[in-house]
Amino acid sequence: MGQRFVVRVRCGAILCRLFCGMIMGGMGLYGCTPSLPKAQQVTRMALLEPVLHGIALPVNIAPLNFVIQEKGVDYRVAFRGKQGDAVVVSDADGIIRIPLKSWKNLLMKNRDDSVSVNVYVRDDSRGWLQFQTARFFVSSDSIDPYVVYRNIGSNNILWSAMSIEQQSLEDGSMTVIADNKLTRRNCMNCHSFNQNNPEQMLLHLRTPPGGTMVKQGDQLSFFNTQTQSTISAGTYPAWHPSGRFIAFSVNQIHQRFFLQTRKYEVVEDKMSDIVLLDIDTQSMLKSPVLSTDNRENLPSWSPDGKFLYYVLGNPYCESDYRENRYNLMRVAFDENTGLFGAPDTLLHAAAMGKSVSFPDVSPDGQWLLFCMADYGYFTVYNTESDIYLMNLRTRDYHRLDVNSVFVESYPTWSSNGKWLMFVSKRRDNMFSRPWFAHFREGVVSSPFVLPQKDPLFYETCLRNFNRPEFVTGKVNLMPSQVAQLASQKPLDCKVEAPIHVDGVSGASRVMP
Amino acid sequence: MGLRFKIPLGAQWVGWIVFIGAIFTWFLWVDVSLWVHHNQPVYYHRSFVDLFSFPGHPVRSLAAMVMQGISGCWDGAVLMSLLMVAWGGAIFFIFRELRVKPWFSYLVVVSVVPIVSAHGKYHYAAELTFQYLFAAWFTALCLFFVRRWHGRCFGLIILVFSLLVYSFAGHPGLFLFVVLLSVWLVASHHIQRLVWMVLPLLLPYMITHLLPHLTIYEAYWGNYMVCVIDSFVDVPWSIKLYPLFLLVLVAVLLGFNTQERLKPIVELLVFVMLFVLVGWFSRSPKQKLSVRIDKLAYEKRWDELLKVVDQFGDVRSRDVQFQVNRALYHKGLLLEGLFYYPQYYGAGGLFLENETKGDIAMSASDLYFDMSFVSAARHWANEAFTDYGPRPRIVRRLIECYKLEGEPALVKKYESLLRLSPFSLLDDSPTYEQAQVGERSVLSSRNEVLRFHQFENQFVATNHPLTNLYYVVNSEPDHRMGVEYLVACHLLSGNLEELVKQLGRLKAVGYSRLPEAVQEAVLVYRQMNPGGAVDLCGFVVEKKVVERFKAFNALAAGGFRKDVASMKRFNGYKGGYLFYLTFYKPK
Repeated sequence: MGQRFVVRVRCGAILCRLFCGMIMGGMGLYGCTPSLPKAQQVTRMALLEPVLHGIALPVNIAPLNFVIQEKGVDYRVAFRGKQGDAVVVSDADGIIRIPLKSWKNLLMKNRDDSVSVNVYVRDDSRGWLQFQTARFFVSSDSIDPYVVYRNIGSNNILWSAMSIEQQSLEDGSMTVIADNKLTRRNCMNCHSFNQNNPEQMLLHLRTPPGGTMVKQGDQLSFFNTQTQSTISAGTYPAWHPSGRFIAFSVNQIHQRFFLQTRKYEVVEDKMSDIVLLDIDTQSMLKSPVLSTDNRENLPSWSPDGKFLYYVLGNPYCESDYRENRYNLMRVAFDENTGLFGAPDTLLHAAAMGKSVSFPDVSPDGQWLLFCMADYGYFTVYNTESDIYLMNLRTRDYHRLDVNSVFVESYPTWSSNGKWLMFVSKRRDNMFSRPWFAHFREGVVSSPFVLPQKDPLFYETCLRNFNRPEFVTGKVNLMPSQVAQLASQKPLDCKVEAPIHVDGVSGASRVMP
Repeated sequence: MGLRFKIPLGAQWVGWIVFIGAIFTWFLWVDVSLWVHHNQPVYYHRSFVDLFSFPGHPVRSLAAMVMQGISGCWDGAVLMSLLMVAWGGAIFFIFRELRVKPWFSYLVVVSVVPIVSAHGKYHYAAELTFQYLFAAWFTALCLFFVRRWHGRCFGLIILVFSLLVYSFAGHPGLFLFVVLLSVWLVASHHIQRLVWMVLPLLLPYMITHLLPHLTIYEAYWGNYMVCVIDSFVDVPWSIKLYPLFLLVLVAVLLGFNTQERLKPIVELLVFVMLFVLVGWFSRSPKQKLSVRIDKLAYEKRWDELLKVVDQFGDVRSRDVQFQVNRALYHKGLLLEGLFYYPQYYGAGGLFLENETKGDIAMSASDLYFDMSFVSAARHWANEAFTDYGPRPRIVRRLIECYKLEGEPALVKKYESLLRLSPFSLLDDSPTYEQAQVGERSVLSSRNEVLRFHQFENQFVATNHPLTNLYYVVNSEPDHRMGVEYLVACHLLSGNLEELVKQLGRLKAVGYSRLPEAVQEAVLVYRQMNPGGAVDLCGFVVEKKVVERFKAFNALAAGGFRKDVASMKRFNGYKGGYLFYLTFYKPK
């Protein structure tokens, strides 16, 4: 059966678009604003991708460019608030790119109020049609200006290109922080910040070359966190607010691929523990509380540094992946002595046939976001995984309305605690995208997806936005700096004076 | 005595025509469409801004687009010959002041040789040819202005053309530009102007300030110098260092002080000899066969595939063996015809995946797709995607898999990607309905696929194909391909204890008699386990097979070695299991 490709050269269309683009660009330069047509009313809202109606946007967000998914030959959109002039954008293909300056003015002038979106579509037979008005709310709570994520393809056994990138939430520009093209295509992961601070960052570079990069201001250090006493190098990190300690999980991770259709992968730990890296002394601290026969994982500090939140699973069950479930835990920590208190179970999820992952405490210490799924902790592959919110004072928790029937995972707070971010695969059940929602006193608004300059970006983007983290400013780190650091020999971390631990894994290395 | 050839007027022109003819013949032999199949060049047009996101991207995109359009050996040969003529033309125009020199024609001819010969390797990235060609023509154009304006505004011209070359043809083009221009300046006695070459050399550094995502290292060396896994990984060093080759070539030729010109007929013969020698040493028939077999398998031309392998003779290539076995299955001959081909790789010729590697990923995906084992086919296609990116073949497979799995949003996404190509890549892929009524052995209906994949707590054995096969035949006992591959696998690995347990499965998939190779295997098993009973599940071992078995044993009892002479003595048993066990089975 031969593949016969029918050549359909679209050069003409491409040239036409280029020409039209130049004309439209010229119009923009000379300040020609398209006028709004007289139109017939349509009794429904236009289909927009992404959806604008009902969402809340931060006042400093970049233009939420979108595509009008209605058939037509010409498109116009008018954004109106109570204050300021209307912003009118037109496009022959319905691909709406909102000018940055006009958008910023519109949001700034209509803080804590709603903005209407009127969509006009010219139909060949019926002329101009006006759809029902959509509205979004502009919150005066600003969002952190940058998001840092790992740009990675769909997760398989192999990996190839990956990079750590930062995208401005204020203007949509993207810059690369680290790129594995420059580090022999190694795996790089688990970028992490102390309290959203771009000056305190860490990043693992897996072998070869291997080590953990720690950025403190302009100073870059490179550690080898693999020791004789731990089953692996540090994996999932959490930076203590003091900046002195980093809690790491150490994990024996493996992945399996489902035979079932529409279910793809499970990532599991055969063993895991939590250890503490003291950056000042470059030593790994172990605690019998966090290195047991059970699997301690995914550490996360309270903003005051007095508690470590984590998840705890029973010993690994290989025969049935569904039996691997995690409870939500916390343990008190004394920064001065480096000692942990007794663990406290916040949510016994396993007893309910559920599994908790990725806990994250709000900056005011009152709320806790976490994921809950049917099994495991690597919930980015659990379709049923949803985001939950717990009030730490009452320990009441509930499933948030931001969830979809697809994966929601990796929730995190903005530095002011007013916005939350999570990844979702709701568009296609495969590729994770960052979504944002406004938070006020336990109430969460409808979410919106990370804005892109190109409204069609997500249509063909076959990459994942992995582990998105808010940062309060731009990370001043160049890929070449990371590459240079990676070429150096990392400093070996030493292990503090031996502490007796019961665990077969983690802090006491499994001996052959 | 003897014939005296008198070359007619314009002997050099005859020489040129013969040379171009030789290039054309060479590319006809290479079959550029095989290169296209192997490398799957594709251009996805996102925006014009994207086109200039990386220095050299415009020409690389153009190259991918042009190469993507090649579908046969003739159009490929014509295109590549034209490119080589254009290449020679550019060299001619650049150094036209030197054309009175006796070695000038050698410069033009030899300059194309490395590029022409590199195409004998099917991994060669044709994008580089285009980048060099554009750079050469930009250089020729640059020198046109230099000559026209008699050297005035030299710095400005250099700067403008450096920018153009770097933007369009990237760093390889820029280095070639610098080399060609430097050589020209030296040859035309303008050595003091070499100082202007600092401008193009500083340009990549300056561009890094305009394109923040570009590191200095990348700006000077591009991707393919840095990464291990990239489309340019297999570019021969002779091509990567081509500008230096050209530098040495011109320097050597400049060093010749002779004014004597060879006779045109000698020159012509030298050209042809040179080309024949280069062509002979850079051809790779085995690699060509491997790519051709893969292409025939992709196009499901099983008869032709087997014919090509038969014509080639003794092939020692695991990839080829794998496709031959696939072809045998599709022709309904796997168990009957398996040993008519030397199975040097044993069970490794049935499956390629003993470890996860990008270069076997699509073959593995093809095999599992044949079996309707959609989750494994999709998994391997995704592995291939990770390594090779959005090649049309991979994307089409993902679309097919996700259609069967019922993931419309993903299908739409991958289809949207293919639609970004100026060439339609979607027209031949089956629609959802076609996929549902597709031939059973090729494409199960969606319902069957879902039934097949109903077990919840089961995983794809990514590097253990036998485990996957057992899953297939246990969950669907009448799965013909699964059963035949399982039996073939045990035969090839010599695991006869397991083989004899599977005889009932052959009945379940409609065998009325045991294939002769299996009968021989049963006899071998009985001989090795005299007390052990074998349940033949209603099959019989035929008399003629028993007699042949005895005759083979009698012949073997006389002693033999694993050499050609011994094999000749056993020629009558070729195609049988005993012959395989004796001479081919790997340890």
